[in-house]
Amino acid sequence: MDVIVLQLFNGISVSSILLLIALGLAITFGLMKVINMAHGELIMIGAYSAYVVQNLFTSYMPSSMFNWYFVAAIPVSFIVAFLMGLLLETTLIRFLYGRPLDSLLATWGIGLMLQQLARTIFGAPNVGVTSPSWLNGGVTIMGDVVLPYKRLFIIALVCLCLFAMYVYIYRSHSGRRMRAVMQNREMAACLGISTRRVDAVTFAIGSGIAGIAGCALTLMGPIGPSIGTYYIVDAFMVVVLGGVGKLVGTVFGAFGIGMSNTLFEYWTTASLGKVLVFLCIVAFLQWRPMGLIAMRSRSLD
Amino acid sequence: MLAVQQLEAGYGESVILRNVTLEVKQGEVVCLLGRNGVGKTTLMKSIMGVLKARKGRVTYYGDDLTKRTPGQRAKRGIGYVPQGREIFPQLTVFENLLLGLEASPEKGRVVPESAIAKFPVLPTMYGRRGGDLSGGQQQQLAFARALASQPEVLLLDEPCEGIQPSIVDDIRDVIRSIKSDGKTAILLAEQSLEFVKSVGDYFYILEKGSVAWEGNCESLSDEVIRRYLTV
Repeated sequence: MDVIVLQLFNGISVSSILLLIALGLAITFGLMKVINMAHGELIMIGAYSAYVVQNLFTSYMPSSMFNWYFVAAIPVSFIVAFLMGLLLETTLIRFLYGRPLDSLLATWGIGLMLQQLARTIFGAPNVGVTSPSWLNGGVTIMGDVVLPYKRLFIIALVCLCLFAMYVYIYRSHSGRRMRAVMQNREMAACLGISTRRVDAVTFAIGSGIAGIAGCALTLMGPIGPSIGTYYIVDAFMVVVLGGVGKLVGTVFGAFGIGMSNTLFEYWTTASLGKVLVFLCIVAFLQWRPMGLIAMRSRSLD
Repeated sequence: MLAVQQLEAGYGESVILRNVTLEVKQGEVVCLLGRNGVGKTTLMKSIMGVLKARKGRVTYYGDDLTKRTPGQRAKRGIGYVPQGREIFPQLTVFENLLLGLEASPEKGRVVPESAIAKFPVLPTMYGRRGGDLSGGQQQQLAFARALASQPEVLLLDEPCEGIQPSIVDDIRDVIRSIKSDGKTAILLAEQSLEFVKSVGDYFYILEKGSVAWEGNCESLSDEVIRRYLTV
């Protein structure tokens, strides 16, 4: 029983991390159809922003305040990655809409440049971010199963991001404009929507969420300039498996991969588990190429 | 108020419109006639700015709009009901209507009563997705969406295409009521002569991308129809 609960929790935890790194991509790739290979580097930017905020707190704030640096780091990571995304969109991505191969190559190059930039500023070795003390430890349930606070915190953070994205995309005026532009750019323009601005803001928001993911990843271990490359494949897997263009799909995709990953790893070994998961995804996409949640409507048929 | 002067436009290498000049006066219903492929939709798109003009000008109350984006033209007061309706399929009917407000000058958040009142069926399906509506319902939605910003000129590109006769009658009534309000001029691309004669004031006949004939709708003679419109 303990083992089942623990595996279940691990599965949810892995899923929540996958979901967090994929949420930003669900916007830039899912909604905007930009194959953004620099997504991993935007995660890296978020992680280093958290590192910088930590160092600023150590240098300039009384040590009693240190524990709160992480609360400040989340919005800072968002804003830094948001601005980076805005810069990227206005200088490069805007010229590459509707050209998937070109944007794949160009964003990959941007990714390499950002990695090198991080190496130049922060050095090649990994740096550690000290987690705030209120995230150390965990809750003990059922006698001896320990659920670490850090993992619970990430699950809560994912829920919060998901909720905020849902409200923004499906309930706000600008979200409505965003969906209109992504569904029918020409008609949206004819109704008086500034498609340029919507594109820029949408891409920047996707990037900002990648920044939050990077900030959360600092809780899981040390960070380095190439941290993004570990996650980029998983992020694309989640979005493609879930079905491009739907937020719910991304959630299901993350949980599908996270849960099966944990289970397969428990039954076999770590590397064999990963192989099995990828095999399952390939088989599934052969069966349903549109992913878990496909958009259907009279006018799209 | 809306004038097109010596317009030339096309797609890629091919030139579709050559030297088109026409005018829409306040409160008038101006009809664009012509066989398939003579450039009616292309002309609509160039007036809206979706398609860039190669030569010539589009002016609105004397202001040159030729270099303006479709969004800026919409904000100046041009409403557009495109061919094929172009409803946002994944958005609800109500959201589609609200998007019609984007171009309205006072940034109103309420869809004006006058836009919906003409289509009493719409409020009964606010929660449904636009893409799930039938063609006729989508056409009514596209109409209401364009009227939401209370435009001064309405571009209607074949509004009756593929629509059942009773809704065609509804659309005719809507056009007549817009006309009788006298605030909105209409440029209407249409195939049905009977429809044109029942609502139109003035007509232009396009052939091979140029204006071949123009005149008052009463003067639309059988001889002209035989020459330019019968297949």
